Amino acid sequence: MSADFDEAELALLLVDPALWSEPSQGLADLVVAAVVAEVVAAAAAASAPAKAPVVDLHQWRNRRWLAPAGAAIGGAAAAALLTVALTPRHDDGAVSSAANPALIASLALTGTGLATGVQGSADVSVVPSGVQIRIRAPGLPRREGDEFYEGWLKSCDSTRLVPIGTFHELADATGWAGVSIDKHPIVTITRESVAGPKDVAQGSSGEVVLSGKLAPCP
Amino acid sequence: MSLVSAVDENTLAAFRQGDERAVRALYDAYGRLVFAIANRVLRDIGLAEEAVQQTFVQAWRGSVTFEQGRDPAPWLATIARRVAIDIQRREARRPTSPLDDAPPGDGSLVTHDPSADQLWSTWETRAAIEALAPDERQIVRLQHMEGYTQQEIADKLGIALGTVKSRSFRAHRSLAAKLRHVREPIGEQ
Repeated sequence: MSADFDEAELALLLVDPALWSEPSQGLADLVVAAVVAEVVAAAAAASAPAKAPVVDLHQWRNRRWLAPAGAAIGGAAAAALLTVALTPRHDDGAVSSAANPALIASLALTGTGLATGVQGSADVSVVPSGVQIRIRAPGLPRREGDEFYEGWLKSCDSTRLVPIGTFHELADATGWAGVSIDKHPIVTITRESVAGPKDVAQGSSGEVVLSGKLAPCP
Repeated sequence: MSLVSAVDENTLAAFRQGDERAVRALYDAYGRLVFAIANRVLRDIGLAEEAVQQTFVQAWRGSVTFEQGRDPAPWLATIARRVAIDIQRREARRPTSPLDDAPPGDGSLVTHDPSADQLWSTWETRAAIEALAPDERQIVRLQHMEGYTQQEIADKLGIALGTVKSRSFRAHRSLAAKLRHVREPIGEQ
């Protein structure tokens, strides 16, 4: 059996900087959010008859028939499908819910050339059905009738786009998604209008007015 | 509470169910140790934090096959090593700057992945450090990581040299005892 280390041997072990670095304070929240989002996505994939609402960006282009109200109903139905046995709880024992979400990230949204100078913010919270994204961009003008805004979560390589809701105004709006935010860390807001009735789906117009990132892309 | 205290079976069972509180408890118990392994491989705090997230996600995915009653530490360490090496290889495929620009210790300069034994030593050493009293941990850090003499530590902290010496002695005795079992593998490398 080995004897104890002497101080010189210990020094060789202890000099490694990796032993002394500390992770960020917020890493625990990100880990919890990542696992919970994975649990939600797995449960949704197991229970939903159709595939989860992660779509190929190219398949969505030029398909636009859902009115905002219809899309909102579709979003609610999707959220219902994503409701799973999971009941995330906070340290105080409270159950996460849409009315009592667990905030995990906040980010700034910046106006593009289509909304120069407009600033906004998004708060991302974990709820039992996935993540809730509260968007506040009071500088964007209200859209009426068949014109609206749509929120999206996007993957870093821009190949996957997840709708989070449609809105006439974004002074204080809330959307939802049932996907892992660490795989879809980009939040964008696009300008949309209702398309013709022959289209089979409503996709992104590509007219991004606001965008922000939850985390840097590799 | 020690950061290395094992979580109980109920917590592990709740973790398998995806319970948020159990995920946090597992992170509280092992998150810093997972981070130490990831940082040892990647030498980059941002990438190491990404690896920590992926480690816990993969741990949840594999938790249904995790045998009840076993210590989750080696299991998490194995996942963390694999995840970190995957990230390191992904980063190695990215466009790079000239090697001359890379700081010493940069991951791109590392030619071999650390062995499982080396990373388990990192895990055990970090756990032993975490188990020290805060004032002892501070002195060990200043001495070994920052390179201060005991007199310099006493001056820096405004305490007597004798206090530094006694805390240092206690800390090293504790570390030596806790790390006795990792000595042979380290000696063989």
